[in-house]
Amino acid sequence: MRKSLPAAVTAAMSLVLVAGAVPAFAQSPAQETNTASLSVLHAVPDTPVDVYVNGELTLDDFAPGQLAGPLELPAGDIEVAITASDAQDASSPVIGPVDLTLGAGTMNTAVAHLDAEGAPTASAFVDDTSGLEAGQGRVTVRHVAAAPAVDVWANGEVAVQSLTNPNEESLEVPAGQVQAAVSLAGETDPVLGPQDLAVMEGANTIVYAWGSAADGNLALATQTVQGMHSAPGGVPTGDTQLPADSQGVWYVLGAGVLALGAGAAFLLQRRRARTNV
Amino acid sequence: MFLVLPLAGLFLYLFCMGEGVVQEPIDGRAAVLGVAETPGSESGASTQPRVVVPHPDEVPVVTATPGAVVEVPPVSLNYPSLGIDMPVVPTGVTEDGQMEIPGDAATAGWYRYGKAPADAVGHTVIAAHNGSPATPVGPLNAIGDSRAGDEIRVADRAGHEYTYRVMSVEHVNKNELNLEPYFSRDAAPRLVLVTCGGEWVPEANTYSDNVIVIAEPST
Repeated sequence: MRKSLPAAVTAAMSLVLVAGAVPAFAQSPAQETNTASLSVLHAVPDTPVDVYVNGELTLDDFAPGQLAGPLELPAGDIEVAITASDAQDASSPVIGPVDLTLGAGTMNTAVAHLDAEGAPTASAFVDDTSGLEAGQGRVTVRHVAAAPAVDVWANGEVAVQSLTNPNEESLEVPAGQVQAAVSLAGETDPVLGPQDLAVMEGANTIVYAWGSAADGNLALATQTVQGMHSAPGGVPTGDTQLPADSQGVWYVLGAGVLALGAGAAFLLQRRRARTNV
Repeated sequence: MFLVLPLAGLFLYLFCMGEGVVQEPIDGRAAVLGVAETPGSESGASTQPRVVVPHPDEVPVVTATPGAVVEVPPVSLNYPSLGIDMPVVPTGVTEDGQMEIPGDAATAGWYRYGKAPADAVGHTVIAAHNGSPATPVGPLNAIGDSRAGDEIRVADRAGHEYTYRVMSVEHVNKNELNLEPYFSRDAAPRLVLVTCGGEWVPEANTYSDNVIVIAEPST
């Protein structure tokens, strides 16, 4: 028997007030045509690391749960190596080196994570930055946890079924608060959440399930990519005719009634005249 | 036969009234709307930018947890020279993809997915019906009489009051209107007021035009 999850979202999130500045982790799609954007998510629990791109140290003492970037890099192939944070160079990486291909003008996220069996690895995802209709947001869910296939729940219903490591799925949903939870595929008891997720309008809210089920440190990480919004299709502010614009109707109708009355009186007079003859 | 004359008069009256006077914006449109230049839009030969892998100290690093940006909503709109003093409430998008407008013309809606007066960039869009059953002539109906230099004040939920100066007022036929520039989120900051005007179109049960005032922050 399926346990029902609460459908209504009522808990308030703690929200960060930003006066004008765009938060570092809210990114806009790359505009250049010969470069690409790369973000890096550290999703291996417990171990701070250094990240080398094309042999150069790029991220120093990068902690688990942190998101770096976006880095602007040449489009094409790059080599990423991840070492212990006290390593002198990239000669003995703990992950990689791995080759990633960055398409020109795309936004990408490389993730250091555990595979389904718990071994450290790295995966690259292309971030979907295609346009959204007014009022809509995009949610992308990425399974990068040492865990079997999972179901992703939104507001008490399964939204993504049987997602495996290291795969993703995207949904377009009305912007607003969503109560999100993750269960093992086919089950109802959540292994993550339920917790409130803000789906930003005109943006891609990317949610990662990371950590290790066996070690009991499964967690959700989020990354927001902005800039996909569209203006509404219209501003419908004129569905009631103003009195001034309809007053003319009354004047003309009034004149019409008078004219009709005059015409009728004239006809009656003529008729009386005839009968009097 | 006696009915023809008054009915003809009625039709003539309806089609002749309310001719929208299209006023050109005071400045070039791009300047008025504060449209952001897109990278690489300058003419001339574009050279390949030299890209180097950034130094670790230059790379922004944050904790990947939810942190939604919260806009501080405007709560009132005051336009003294046109006698407008009305409340503003946040609104979104209706099922047909249009901006949601408060039903009573006495209340204005602020497009919650856009920018707010507190933001350093982008457009604050505020709209209201020009008339409604409860308020036959709405306050915003008067913006067709806006003049460049008019002062407009908007107060927000944080208690701040922002002052703007009108730059332009225009009547645009809805069928020809591209709303994207008016709803920009990254152009220079502007206050954009929208209502309806032009001619009443009975078969569509709406007015023909949007009337749009653009104002810039006063220093």
